Amino acid sequence: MKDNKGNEVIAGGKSFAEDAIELESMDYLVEGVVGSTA
Amino acid sequence: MTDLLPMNRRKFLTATAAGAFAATVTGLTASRSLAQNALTIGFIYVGPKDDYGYNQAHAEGAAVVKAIPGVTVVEEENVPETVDVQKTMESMINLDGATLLFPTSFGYFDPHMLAMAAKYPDIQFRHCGGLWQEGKHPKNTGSYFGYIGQGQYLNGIAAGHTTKSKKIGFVAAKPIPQVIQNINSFLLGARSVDPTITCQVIFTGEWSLAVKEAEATNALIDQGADVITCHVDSPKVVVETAAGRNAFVCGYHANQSPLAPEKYLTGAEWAWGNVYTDFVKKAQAGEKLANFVRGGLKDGFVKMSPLGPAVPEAGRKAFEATHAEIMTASRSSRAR
Repeated sequence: MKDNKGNEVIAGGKSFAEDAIELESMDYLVEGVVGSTA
Repeated sequence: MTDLLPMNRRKFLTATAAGAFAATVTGLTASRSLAQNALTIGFIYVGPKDDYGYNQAHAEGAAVVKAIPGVTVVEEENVPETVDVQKTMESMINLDGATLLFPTSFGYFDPHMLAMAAKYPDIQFRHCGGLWQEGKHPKNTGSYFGYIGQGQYLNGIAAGHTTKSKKIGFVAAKPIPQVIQNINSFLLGARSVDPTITCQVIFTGEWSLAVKEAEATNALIDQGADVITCHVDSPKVVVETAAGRNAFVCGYHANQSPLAPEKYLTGAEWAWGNVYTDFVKKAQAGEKLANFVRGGLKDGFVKMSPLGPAVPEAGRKAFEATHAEIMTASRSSRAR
């Protein structure tokens, strides 16, 4: 999965538990979101 | 036959003493039982209880536990995230006799709830959010929260089946992980229907700022979005503004369908009544309360508003199939 800047943020086939820190610290908008967190 | 003999004074005294003892014991048992079941709980809200949003969702949960025998609920709304909340907590403890407190707003945790927890170590404090950490925070405190991104994913499916412009919009308060998860979940749900759909997001910078929320909603619609959702404390302004512009809406926190019955597709709601009931029943039973509690749709922490009339049949089927898939997933709630 890529963020909306074109960077890969989650490798294909990778999965996380709902409370995984990788998800709980999410700071990127996925590809297709128009906007910025800055 | 001896039972038929007249009772003498000694026997009478013995019997009455035994009866009195039994009555006393029974009374004590009943009293202790009542005392164990009697529980006063305090709920503190940062906004009004009827905000169609974050605070209403918690107040609806408080209303559920009010119905539990032995439970007394005390509530205070519009309490700012300042020393005022400490005064409210002290009042609930000292004047109302509350022994379990739910300060529900994010900013109540540090330093306010932590200060009160240190001052009142026999009182239990549970805070909505994910801030409690083992080894760092007191044992008489804790956190509870839910995987509401699951609900935003389902919102996205309904939105993906309803949008004509293939542009959907999100009014967001602050760029923190919980909000970002919801934005991403909403779009990923929509893209499971059509991978060309895009979602524009506008951050207002505040949890509750009606004017900016209305401006953001209008701006998203002006740029082509025809389905809007949000993550702000009270979605009322977003829902009413979007519906007034003939756009569709997905709700958040609570059920906003009465505000826009024809335009409301569905909504990701909290189901705090289940979470609070579990805490209260454990407290009444004298059991240890968990310090860290999490759950999602399957665990009854999150629920969906009923689908509105504008969701097409294909959207209903896709929504219900994914909802069922989540409800039968192997994962379960976390409590420790």
